[in-house]
Amino acid sequence: MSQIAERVAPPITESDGDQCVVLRGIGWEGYRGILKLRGERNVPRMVYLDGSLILMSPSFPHEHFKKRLGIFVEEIVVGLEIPCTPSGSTTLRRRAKRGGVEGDETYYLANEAKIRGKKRINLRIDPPPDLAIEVVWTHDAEAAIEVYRRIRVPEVWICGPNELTILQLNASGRYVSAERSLAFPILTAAEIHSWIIREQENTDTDWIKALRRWVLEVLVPRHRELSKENPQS
Amino acid sequence: MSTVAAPPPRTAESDGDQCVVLRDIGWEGYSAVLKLRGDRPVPRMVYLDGSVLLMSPSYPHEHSKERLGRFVTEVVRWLKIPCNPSGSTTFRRRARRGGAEGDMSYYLAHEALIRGKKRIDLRVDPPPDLVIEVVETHPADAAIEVFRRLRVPEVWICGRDELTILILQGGRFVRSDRSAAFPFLTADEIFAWVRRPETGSENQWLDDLYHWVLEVLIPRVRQPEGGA
Repeated sequence: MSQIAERVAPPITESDGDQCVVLRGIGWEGYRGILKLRGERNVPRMVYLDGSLILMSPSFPHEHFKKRLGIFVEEIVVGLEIPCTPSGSTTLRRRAKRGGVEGDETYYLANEAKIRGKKRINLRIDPPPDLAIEVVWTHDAEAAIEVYRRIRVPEVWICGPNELTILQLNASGRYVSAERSLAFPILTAAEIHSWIIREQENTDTDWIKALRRWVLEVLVPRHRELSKENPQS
Repeated sequence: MSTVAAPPPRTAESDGDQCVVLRDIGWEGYSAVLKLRGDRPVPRMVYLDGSVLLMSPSYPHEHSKERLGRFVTEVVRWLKIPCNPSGSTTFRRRARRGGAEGDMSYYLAHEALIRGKKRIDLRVDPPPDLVIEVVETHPADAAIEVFRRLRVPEVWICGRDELTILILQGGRFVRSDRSAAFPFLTADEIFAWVRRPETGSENQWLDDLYHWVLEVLIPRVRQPEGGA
C-alpha cells in the first residue's frame, strides 16, 4: 500500500472536441421526457431523429464559432436594416415528422412578422425559422440537417473548419448547396466563412469592430447597388 | 445553385470516448434515463449527486476492457477461484446518491452470497468484490466516488500509462501495488498483459496468457514464498 490517494484517477487530458452520445430506440415520449429533465439548461444540445436521440456538449471552438456566426448575422441585419427575430437554440420539433433539433443559431427573417410577439413557437401552425446555423467541429450534422429538411427550414449554414456550406431547400423538398445566401443574397458562403475563421491579433472586440466597419463601408454600398439594379429585391 | 446532393462538410469522428452530462436531474430522472436506455449496454451511465454522466466508449476503451475481462477469466479459471462475473450491471443506491456501471465487475469472496440470484439489490446484497474501469480519454472520478459509496472493496483503474489498484480502507480508497482479490498479482503485471503488443491475432494473446497462467502463476500460488 502506498500513500492515501486524494485524487485517485490517473490524469488524462479531456478531449477538446465536441462530445456526443446517442440513445437509441427512444420514442417521442422518451424524447420529451429527456427534454423535460434537461429543463431550461442549454446543454446537452439534442437532436431527435426516427427514434435516436443525440446528446451533444459543445467544445470551446464550437461555441466560439457559434458566437461569431451569431454576431455576424446580427451585425448584417442591423447594418442592412433587415427585420429579424433571433430564435437561438430553440427546440424545433414535430412529432409527425419524427424529428426535433436545436440549431446553434436560428433566425426568423422573411417570416419574422408571422411570429412577432409570440411566446411559443408551434410548428404545426407557425413557420420554421428562415435560417438555421450549425457549427460542425468534430461531429457531422447529418441528423440535424435531416430534421431541418423535414420541418422545412428554407436555408441552413453548415460551418466547418475548412468551409461554410449554404443549403437551400428546393421545390422537391431537398437541400441543394448554393454559393450565395437566400436570406442575404449579397453574401457568399466563402465570404461568410472568411469572416468566421479570421485570425484576430488582439481580441474578438477588435474582430467585431472590423466586422462593423466592413458592413458599413463594403456591404451597405453593395446592398444599395444591388437594390438599384434590382428594385424588387 | 450548384449540385443537387447536399454535401455537408465531413469531419473525422472523434476516436475517443464520448461523454455528456445531464445536470440536476435527481434520482427519478436517473431512473427514467436508465429505463429509456432499456437493455442496451450504451450509453454507460454514472449517477452522482444529481448529475448523470453518459458515456459511449471508443474502440481502444473496449479493447482494453475485453482483455481485462479475459485476463480475470483465465486467472480465476485455472486457479480455481470461485467467481461470478457481473459485467456492467448497474449498481446503485438511492440513499448514497450514486449509481455506476463498471466496465467489468466480479463477485469473488462474496460469490456464494449472490449465487443463483436474478437481481442484485444493494440494500441487502453485497457489492461486487472487484470493479474494473478503463480510463481512455475521460477520468473516472465520478465512478470511483460511487464505488466508494457503494463499498466496493477493490477497483482497478486501467489508464493509458498504468493500472492503478485501489483498495477500500476505512471507507477511503488507497493505492496498492497488489490486488486484494488476487494477492499474487501486481498492478504492473496486469497492465503489462493489457498493453502487450498485438503480435498475432488476439487468439495468440490468449494462448500466451494461458501458458503464463499455467507456467508462472500456478507455481507462484503453490509456493507463495518463492513466487512473491
